[in-house]
Amino acid sequence: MAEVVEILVGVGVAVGVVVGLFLAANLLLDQATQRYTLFSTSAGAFVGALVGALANSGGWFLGGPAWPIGGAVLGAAAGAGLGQRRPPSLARRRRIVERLRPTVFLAPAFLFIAVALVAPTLRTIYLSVRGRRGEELVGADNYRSVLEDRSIFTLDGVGDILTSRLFLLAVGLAAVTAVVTVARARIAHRDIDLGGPGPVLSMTGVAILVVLAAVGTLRAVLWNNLYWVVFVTLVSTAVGLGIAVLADRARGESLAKSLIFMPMAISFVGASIIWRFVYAYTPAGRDQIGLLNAVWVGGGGEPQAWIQQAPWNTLFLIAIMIWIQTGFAMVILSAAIKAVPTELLEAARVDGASDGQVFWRITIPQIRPTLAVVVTTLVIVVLKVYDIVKVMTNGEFGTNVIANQMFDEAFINRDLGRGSALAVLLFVSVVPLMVINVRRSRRDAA
Amino acid sequence: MTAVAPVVRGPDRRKVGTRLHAALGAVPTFVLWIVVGLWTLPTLGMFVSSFRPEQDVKTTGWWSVVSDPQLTLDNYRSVFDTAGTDAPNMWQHFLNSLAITVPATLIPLALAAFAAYAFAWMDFKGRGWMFVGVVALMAVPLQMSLVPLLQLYTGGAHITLFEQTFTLFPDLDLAGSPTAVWITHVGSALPLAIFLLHNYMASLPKEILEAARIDGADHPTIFWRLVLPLSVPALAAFGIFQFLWVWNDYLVALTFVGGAPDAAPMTIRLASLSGGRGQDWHLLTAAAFVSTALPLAVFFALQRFFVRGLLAGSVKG
Repeated sequence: MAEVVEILVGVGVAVGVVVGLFLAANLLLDQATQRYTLFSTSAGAFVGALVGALANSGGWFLGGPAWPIGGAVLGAAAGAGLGQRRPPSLARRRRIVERLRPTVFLAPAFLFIAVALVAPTLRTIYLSVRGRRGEELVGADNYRSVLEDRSIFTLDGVGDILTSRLFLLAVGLAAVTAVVTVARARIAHRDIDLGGPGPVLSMTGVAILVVLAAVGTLRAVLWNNLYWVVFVTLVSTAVGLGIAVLADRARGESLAKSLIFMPMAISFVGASIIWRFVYAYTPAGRDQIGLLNAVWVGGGGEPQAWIQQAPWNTLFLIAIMIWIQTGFAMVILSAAIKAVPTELLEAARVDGASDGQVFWRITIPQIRPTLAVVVTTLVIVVLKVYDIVKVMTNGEFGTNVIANQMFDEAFINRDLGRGSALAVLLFVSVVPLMVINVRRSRRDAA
Repeated sequence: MTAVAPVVRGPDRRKVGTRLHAALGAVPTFVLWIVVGLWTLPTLGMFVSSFRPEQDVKTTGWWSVVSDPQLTLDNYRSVFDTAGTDAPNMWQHFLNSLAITVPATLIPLALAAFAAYAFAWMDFKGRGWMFVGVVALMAVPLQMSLVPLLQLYTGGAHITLFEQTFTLFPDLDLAGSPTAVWITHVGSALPLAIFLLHNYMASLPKEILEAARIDGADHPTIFWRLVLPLSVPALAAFGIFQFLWVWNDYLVALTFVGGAPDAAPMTIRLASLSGGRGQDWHLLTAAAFVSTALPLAVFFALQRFFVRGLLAGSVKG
């Protein structure tokens, strides 16, 4: 119990200090219009204390409280003198308040952002062009050594993609799609329509087959990240959309949606344990305790150690992320679907459109901006994937990803240069999405 | 209404069609619930297994509980009982999680509310560009801050100018303490928090605020008396989102308190159990459930706000 109290007190102090400082700064600013000397004295003391502390901790003198206190006294004296001798006009004081108020509101947040986000980001970029300990400048060596590491990036196996069965299947599907699309257009005497459900779905299928072919032959940390991004984004968005449509006005809609959404509340570590249990393997002849192997053996297969068998094990890890993120996609898309104007849907139905046509020609175009948001959010989340890989395989069996490699380089091999270079790679791959987000927010604001 | 019309018109042919249509109409619901079942099965497996005796969990599938319903609380007892080992108690990890999560939720909430108000209702130079900066920072991967922050917490930050060393950030020896973890979370959460709260505050009706200004209220008064109370839904939404995020975090905790088992939150304990006692499914499932119990309770109780928060962040215009 004592510990609970201790924690509560600590939290109370931390929150109290934050809010208290904000209140005090605002109170102080309020004095500027009425009691200007008080304002200038305390402002001077505040600035003086900061400068004194900064100078002191550098070790100019012995340290201790002398410097900040001395600075505060000097600053207060200077502020008082200034305020007494040349007090500004009331209009000017009002302007001072007007100018400083946004600073008081923004400074606390910006201070934390600067210390815990911006400065570290800049320093990581700086460290990425320096040696193991950050001591000497090495230029692009870290990037070179990372990209030349064949476990991180390789093009071996690119050629094998072209001859793999999955790729041939993809080519076949693409050809069939092309023929069918052209033939349908000819028969109906219309222009070729690439935006219809047929071509779009089968071209998505082609893309998935090609990436699957790559999974089968091309393995490296960077490629694995690509597979994660492609599969999680595609499958979570598609399944989430599907569930949102199925659940729309279905019986028990909210319960069904809660259950699909529930994995969002479970930690990645917890989810990984749940799924390790699903993939659990016991040798043939014994009862399978893992759900997947039980089904597999029930269907006549040999029990498999799913997460240890490259190359397809990565897909079993990806499935966990899909399980978690589909709920997110579903919730967002479901809200967007409900926001489609009913008049639009009814008008289309009156014109004789089928349910499928209404969905494809009205609903999808209407929710396209939301689809874009879901996709960008998912890509940003998935690029950073760490916990699942760490808990499931620790990056072994060919399942490693950038974030895990980065952690190992920086904190286990203690090579800050290489670790930082990997972090920067991750950062660079997020930049395009950052630009998209900024553009979107500017457009929304306009 | 379409169900009634054919009956009035009468011919039997239509009735049959309606019945078929009704049957087909149930198919989506049926498919939906199959998907829901599939989605819930893994969690159900964990939940059921955590109550089964060790021997059963290790030798038979959890679904055999249907034919052989033997349940026990022993697994939970062993998860909480660490007598005879030097590992900290599960209760200790629970408290550590709390000591990290509560400040990491409340502090960004307060700071972001101040900043969001400024962005939404104050005029100042560079407002547009600063907000663009905030939006851009939302996407910066956490990995970019880990190495420098660990250095900051273990050695402070110093700069040398004119042969004098200035300490920009004192060496507070924070690594291994919950403080290091929550400061990191505060920094990385603020851009999203400011963005969400700004979107909400900016959508409040302008007239109310203008009326308050005309009545002579200054910004602090408007903020505390008007905007903050009106923004409770958005604050709750972000609060829940952040609570779940921090409670479930593993990477930040591992980086800053990974070497200090006494300060470790539950996710770290769970992951190390999984690595060290990977086949002790009776313990793993119980521990996993213990660590998810609170977030699940929060999630189900306050789901409405959580969903609203997600929507505010992503569905606009």
